[in-house]
Amino acid sequence: MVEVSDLRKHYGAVRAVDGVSFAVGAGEVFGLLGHNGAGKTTTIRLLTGRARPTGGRARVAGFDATTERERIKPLINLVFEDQNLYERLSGRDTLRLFADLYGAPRGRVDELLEVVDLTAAARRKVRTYSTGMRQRLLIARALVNRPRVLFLDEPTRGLDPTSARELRGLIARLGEEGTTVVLTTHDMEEADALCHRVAFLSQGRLVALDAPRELKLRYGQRTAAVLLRDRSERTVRLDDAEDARRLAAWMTEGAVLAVHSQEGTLEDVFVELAGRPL
Amino acid sequence: MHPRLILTIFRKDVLDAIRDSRVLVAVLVPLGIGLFYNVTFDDDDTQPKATLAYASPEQTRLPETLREVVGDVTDVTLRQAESAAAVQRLVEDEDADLGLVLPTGFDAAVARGEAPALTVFQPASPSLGGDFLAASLDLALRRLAGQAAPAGVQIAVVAEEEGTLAIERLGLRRWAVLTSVMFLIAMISMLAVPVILAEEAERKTLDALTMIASYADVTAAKALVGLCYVALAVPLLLGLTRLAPDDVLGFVGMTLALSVTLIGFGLLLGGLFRSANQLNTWSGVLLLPVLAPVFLVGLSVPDLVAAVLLALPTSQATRLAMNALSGEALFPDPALSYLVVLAWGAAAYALLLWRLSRREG
Repeated sequence: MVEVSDLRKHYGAVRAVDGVSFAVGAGEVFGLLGHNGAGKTTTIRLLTGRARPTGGRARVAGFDATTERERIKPLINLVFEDQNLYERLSGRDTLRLFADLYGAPRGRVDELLEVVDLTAAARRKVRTYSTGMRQRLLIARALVNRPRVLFLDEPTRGLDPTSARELRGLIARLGEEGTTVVLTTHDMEEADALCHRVAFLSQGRLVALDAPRELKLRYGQRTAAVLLRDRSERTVRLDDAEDARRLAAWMTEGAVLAVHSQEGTLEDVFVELAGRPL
Repeated sequence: MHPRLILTIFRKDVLDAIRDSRVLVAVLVPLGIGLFYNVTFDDDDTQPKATLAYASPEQTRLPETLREVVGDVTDVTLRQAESAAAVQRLVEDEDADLGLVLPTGFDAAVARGEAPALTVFQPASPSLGGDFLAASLDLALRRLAGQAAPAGVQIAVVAEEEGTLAIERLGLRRWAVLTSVMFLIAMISMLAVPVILAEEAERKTLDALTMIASYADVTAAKALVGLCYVALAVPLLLGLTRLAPDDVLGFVGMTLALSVTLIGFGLLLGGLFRSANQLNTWSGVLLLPVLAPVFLVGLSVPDLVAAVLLALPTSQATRLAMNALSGEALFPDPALSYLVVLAWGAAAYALLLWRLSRREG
């Protein structure tokens, strides 16, 4: 659904995106992770035809993102990092406007209000909405044309934990329903929970790409912390035969209270790859 | 460009923008000024007025003859009083500009050449109209006596400065309301329209629109909003002030040409400022060169200023508007006026297209 090959975007000497290649399949939830300025948002801009690449190619929904931008437009949508809504319009009028622009039936508006749980607030002006409600409205706006590829730029930024969890649930459902989702985020836990695969960007370059579990296994520590009855804690290496025997012995003696896997987090992986935390 | 998208954005803007206080003010202020001018000024203010009080024991032709002699130069109102004292009181109370007291048999005596006595009351500080009446009295008496004027004077006005009398011909009220019509068009085109565009860019809603529409679609929709506001507000102002152009088609043509041109510049402005508030702050300075020429058309100005006015769209549009309003050719070369206005428009839209092509790229 998304194919990126040696994609580059340079602003003078600054290489915002520098030879990035990846592919995203239909129904996949794909995460672009990285520091500020790593090239995430620029990549999204290139994929949505909002900027012209310096080099390389990007195909989205079967069309070239640069030369066939007009054909891509009805097939994709984007939830912007900024909450760019019309403050003086109501939630319903906002969705009606974009339904009309995309030629979607009016019935889609009520359907989406229901999906994002804004039916009760549909007649209220957007300026009275909370941050979480605005973000849900942004998602609804981006779904108005039933996009085959949905891009989300920092979708949970600034949301309280409850709103963020609700939104993640919504994004996960979209993936399950077959929408291809490409999202950028700083939140590694979010990426871990939501994304089928993630790509780490650093200084415009792709430094790692895989499923979160694979990355954690590949870059995380293969150790376990063992809590014994005497309240001491021991670390055992999972690849070490001697440590395996020690663990077996403790278990036989009934000395083990708990064993904690020390598989790395995506954050650990990122630090190892990018040299500093997010 | 996509007409369906343009119309959808246009519908949203027409209803949404008017809720913006800055846009509302841009429309309401010129309307208010136009209404104020309308009740403050009178079309006939430029023609002197005079009330002639007279007392005569019998019918007399003198007051009517005096009015005929004065002609269109002064608007004369006749007021017959019962006695000489009443005439004097009217003049003293400034209810009359000139008073005449005629004896019995005055008209017949004048006709016989008997030089009857005529008493004239004039205030210490006579009005322009009263002065003119007094000065015309001798000529009226000669006419009443059946005497020919000593000479047949024929006045021919030569080398009249172009448009010098335009404001007099229009009348102060119509001229003043016309300036508010031009103000209205300028405020909508160069404040309301760019504020709408600048707000879209500032709040980044423009990015959401261009996910499906092009920049050209969005810009065209804003231009339509400006034209729509002009099409509603100008007739409203004309209606409220009962200002009916003699040449309606000419007035519509001028309004359309000027609006299209100024909206082009307004859309350019909308892209130059970072925020709608910044634009609002600087709007006074920006409107000055657009509106100042409107007030100079029809006035006697130095040659250099007159030459500059010929090259400006709002002054040329004002010439067209004055012609259309009066139904007379107060200013020559309407084709040249249209050419100047539309040439500015062409320049504005060429720059706009260039900017849009860079943005689309």
